[in-house]
Amino acid sequence: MLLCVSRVTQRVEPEPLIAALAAGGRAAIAFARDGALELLPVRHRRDGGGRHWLGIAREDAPPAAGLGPVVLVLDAGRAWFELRAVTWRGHAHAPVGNPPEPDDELAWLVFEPSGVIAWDYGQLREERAPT
Amino acid sequence: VTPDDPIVRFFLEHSRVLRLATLSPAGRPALTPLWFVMEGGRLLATTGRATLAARNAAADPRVVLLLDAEAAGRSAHVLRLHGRATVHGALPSWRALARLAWRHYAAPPALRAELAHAGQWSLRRRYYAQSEGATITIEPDRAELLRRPDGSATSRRGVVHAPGGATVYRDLKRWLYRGNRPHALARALNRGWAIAGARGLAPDHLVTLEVRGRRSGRTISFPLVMAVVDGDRFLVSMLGADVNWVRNVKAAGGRALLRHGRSESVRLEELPPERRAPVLKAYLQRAPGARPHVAVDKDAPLAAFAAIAAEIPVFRVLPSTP
Repeated sequence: MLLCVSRVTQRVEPEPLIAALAAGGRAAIAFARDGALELLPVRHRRDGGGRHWLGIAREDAPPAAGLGPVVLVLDAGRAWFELRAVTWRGHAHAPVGNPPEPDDELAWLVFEPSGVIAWDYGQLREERAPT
Repeated sequence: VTPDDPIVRFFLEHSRVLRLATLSPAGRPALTPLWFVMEGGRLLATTGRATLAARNAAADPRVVLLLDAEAAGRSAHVLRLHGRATVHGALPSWRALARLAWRHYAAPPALRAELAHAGQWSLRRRYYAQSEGATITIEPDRAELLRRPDGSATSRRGVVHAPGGATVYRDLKRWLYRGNRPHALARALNRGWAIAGARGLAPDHLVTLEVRGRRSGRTISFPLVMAVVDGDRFLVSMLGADVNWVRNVKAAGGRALLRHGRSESVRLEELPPERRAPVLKAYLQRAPGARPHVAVDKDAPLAAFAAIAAEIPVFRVLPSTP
């Protein structure tokens, strides 16, 4: 016999939230380099092919060759029910091709995601999960 | 900058949700947005005991976080803070919890969201009951200001220490300069002030700047408020760098004419952002018309002006050179 338990979750489908955060969210990446933790604010854009681009202020840009593992977070909100975020895990590397928004003050990397989760406290709900 | 620097204090006071980076024992990074409050010079962030952030910070206390001072509007910079974390398997003091609740549940902008989601309050209680809480206490070590790369620094949302009144005036001023451009009525008013300033009819601090148009070659007049700091005179672009008079001044190599009853040939030298804060404060004290366009209150600490200084060009007035 299958038993179900209910659980309250804030997890949501990533795509609608990514679209919502693209307009007003803030983005950052974290990665390790030589055993030390690095954290940088980035400009996050997706091109027509769905590729993720990370724009980093030139003076802070890390060497682009094989940056990983990298975690990318896009988030927004201050009030409890407005807090929401998308988290990707993946790797970043130097781009082949032109960035979606040429900007002399930014260095661009391409981010290759290997997994993504999204949460939105405004979408808090009960879900049933089999045990 | 050091943790007791006024800029760091400004970011700590005006940030609401920090972004915390931690490292797992296997060397994998994690990044989590967390709300926080300050207590005794340390940052207290609450989360679940089983979360990646809590487990990582317990295993490796080296953490890095970003602060945006989002309650003060978007500045051109983000503060990156390095610190050491301690994880406690319990929620913080009632006092800290009350401050968190005020910020994120009950303060006016949050209260609207609370009321809109009243139907989910019981779900939230159950959500919290599902896991045990933890507090990550962060002792700041060192900090750096990073340039914000997301291209949104010019969207001036929010005002630091916003004055209670003058809302209508503020909205009118923003309407006159919507899109950061003077519209027809604003241009007409500016022409009037430029004539009054040039003839010396306006107050002493109102001058008329005359500069050669970079495309038309014609002389263009524009009224500006002069700020004076330590005997030096300064002109400020309240609408940022992307305005005609600033572009014309730069195209003219800084050569311009100032008129206030008499004419004075001058050279305008742009001040680097790190030296602008006291001038911006003096300017806002003197120019009430500029206040609706600047995301910092006239009485805010200098650190607040430093945080937005990169957005607002300031020119020192120097005698013209032959």
